[in-house]
Amino acid sequence: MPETPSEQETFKQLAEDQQLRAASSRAVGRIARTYAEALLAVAESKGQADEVGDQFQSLLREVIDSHPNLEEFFENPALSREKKDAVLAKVFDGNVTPLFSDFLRVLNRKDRLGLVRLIAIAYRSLRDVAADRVHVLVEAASPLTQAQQDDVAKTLAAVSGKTPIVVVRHTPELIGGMIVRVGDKVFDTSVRTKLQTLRTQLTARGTHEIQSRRDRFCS
Amino acid sequence: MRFKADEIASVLEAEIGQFRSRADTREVGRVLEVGDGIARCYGLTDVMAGELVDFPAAGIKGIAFNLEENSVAVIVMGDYLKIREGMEVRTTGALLSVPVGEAMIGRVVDPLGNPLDGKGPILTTKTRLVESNAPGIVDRQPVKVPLQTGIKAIDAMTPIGRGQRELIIGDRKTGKTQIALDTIVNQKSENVICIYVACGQMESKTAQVVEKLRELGAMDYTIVVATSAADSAPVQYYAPYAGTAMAEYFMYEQGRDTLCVYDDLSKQAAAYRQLSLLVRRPPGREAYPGDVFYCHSRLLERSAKLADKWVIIPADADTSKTAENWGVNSAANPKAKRGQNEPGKVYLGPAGKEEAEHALKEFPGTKLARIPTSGGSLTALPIIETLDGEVSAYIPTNVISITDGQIYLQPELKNAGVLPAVDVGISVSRVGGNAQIAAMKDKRVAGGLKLALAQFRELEAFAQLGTELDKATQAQLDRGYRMVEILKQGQYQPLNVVDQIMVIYAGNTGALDKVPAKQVRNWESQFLAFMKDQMPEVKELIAKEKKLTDDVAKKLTAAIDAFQPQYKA
Repeated sequence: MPETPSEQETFKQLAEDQQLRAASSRAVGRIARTYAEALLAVAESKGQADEVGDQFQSLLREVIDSHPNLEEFFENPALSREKKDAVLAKVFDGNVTPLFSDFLRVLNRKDRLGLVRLIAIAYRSLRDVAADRVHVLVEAASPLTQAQQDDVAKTLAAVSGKTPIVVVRHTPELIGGMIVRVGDKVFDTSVRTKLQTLRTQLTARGTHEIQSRRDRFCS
Repeated sequence: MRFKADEIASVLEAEIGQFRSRADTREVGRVLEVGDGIARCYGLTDVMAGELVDFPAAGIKGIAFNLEENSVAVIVMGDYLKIREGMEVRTTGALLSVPVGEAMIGRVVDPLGNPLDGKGPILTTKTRLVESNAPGIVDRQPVKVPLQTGIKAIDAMTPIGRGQRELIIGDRKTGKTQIALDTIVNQKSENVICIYVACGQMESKTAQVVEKLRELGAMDYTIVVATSAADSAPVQYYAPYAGTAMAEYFMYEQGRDTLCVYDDLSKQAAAYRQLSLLVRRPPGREAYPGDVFYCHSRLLERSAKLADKWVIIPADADTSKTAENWGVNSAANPKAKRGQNEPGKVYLGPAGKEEAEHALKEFPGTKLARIPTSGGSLTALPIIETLDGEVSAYIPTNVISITDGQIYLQPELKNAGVLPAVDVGISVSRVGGNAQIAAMKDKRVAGGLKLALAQFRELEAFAQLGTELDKATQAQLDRGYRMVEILKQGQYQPLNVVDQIMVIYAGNTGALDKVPAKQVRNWESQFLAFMKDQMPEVKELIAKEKKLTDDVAKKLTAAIDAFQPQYKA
């Protein structure tokens, strides 16, 4: 089943969330988060949090994702700040809010332009947390109808008290049932896992039965 | 033997019938990096400290060791090289446990309970948590039953009681392990389950130990938990805890006496230091982490002599099988009879026994019975290796302060031919004195020995100056030389406590003064053979009386006098 653009976006965001979490135990992750928090605080005080968010997101998707060279250019320490500043001015001035272009200049001055992708992800994730949005990946053995998807979303909303953004991946290997992943929590009702559990239980029970009879035989 | 396939099949069928499908809820994370037995993971938001986690793709378990702001450091209990970056980790909600039970006896296992001796799977279904709480104050009783090591220098001078923790400390190659092994060998007729934990030892040494124990028939009541120097640090770190859990089963559930030898805790501390440094816990003195003291104290605190439990049972009941639920009176109201589904009253310890004796009067036709599965004990013999006699290093001082006494082994003594090289002057046993049997404690036996040796040590320096000595001093010196000879003992030759008493008594009463010092051990073996063959009644009397009454002492002196003419130099 072809994925809709919004589904593709959710998948991307899910992957990015993982990337951010993996980075968060290293210095870069913490730095990116600090910059994102600062930007969010300023943007909120000016009432531009949404606007900056949209611009950041479009910078990420339309500029950085489609021009892989740009990140290299940002990261390259051999190029002077002035050169990067000139490029920033040429590309962004007039296209984005002054706050956002100033932010990019600050990043440049601190030699942190290379972290722009991580900062963008961190910014989005901070906004998700603030808005109680969670990304939910549902792996289902058979494609879910819209009504079923809504059902899942409704249940999750009731259980977690947050707004779930549900995306479904069709995974025939599960045989039946589905796996719902909310953050670190995994709710697994798939037939595959059940069969595996049954298998371990049966092996354990069988071994136990054989052993206990041997015990009796020995004693 | 054949299994009936259809019988097993029917069990499995029932199992499938009862299989309730529940949604499998779990917490997952992913591996960020792995190395040196540590896997750093992200995710696992709600994981608990010390929780067992699972790497399903590698089939390996780990323990959540360090919970940090953005990641969890998991120590891997297995081959960490099988774990890859990005692999899924799952919480299990369980803690590390090991298989326990009778089937473990006679086996050599790793700290997870997997057999290492090639004798097939271990047939047990019981498990115990590796880390468990030490018994509290009310659950214990004072140490008062002796644990005979069979070594004269220890049983006489630094006696060990069941439930005690006695440290064996000394430089490399001074015979630390030997003392522990002799003690294990001596438990053959003492009904004590022994656990030998080899922690970070050479594989060849462990193999030798196991072979020797087997040869001497000691494996019939011994479990060996083996980790070699090549095992990963987490495995070495958990070995003593795992061994203790195996002993605790016998202590708590069967009321048996057990002995745990930790050989050695310096290597365990080093393994723990490695782990802690790898997860970036701040290093303290000698780079050990701050909680290395706790690492040893919580291990050794699990040694105990458990209090006896008593119940009031009908007069005609079989006391050998008494269980906790046999009490005739109610636990909530001991004055009343127990209801149908009410728990029965269990009286704990000596205070409880007094209370029970009092309560007994109100229930005619009943008697007081000790629960046979109560009152077990766990004696610990930790071993610490010092460097160049340095007992003021970090780990030795820690463990000295935790234990109830220590046995010092000196390389100088070993070089001078005194084996076991126990320095009786500085070795102490803080609680063992209460456990010594009266006959051994007597001032004509261990008491006199202590005095003679103390005087001897003072005079020994003079003797080396070569000065002329008066008769009394020379006599004291001569007695001292013979006492030192008496304390010498061969490897794997533990002596029965009665034999020890007889020999030390002979030394104290001057029976050896005419025997040349070099002949003392010869005299001893002939004397013991004589006592066994020709005077068994004296031996039996001491064993029965357990005290050196005047009558016993007279008979013993007469026996020694009878032996003297028969002695062949």
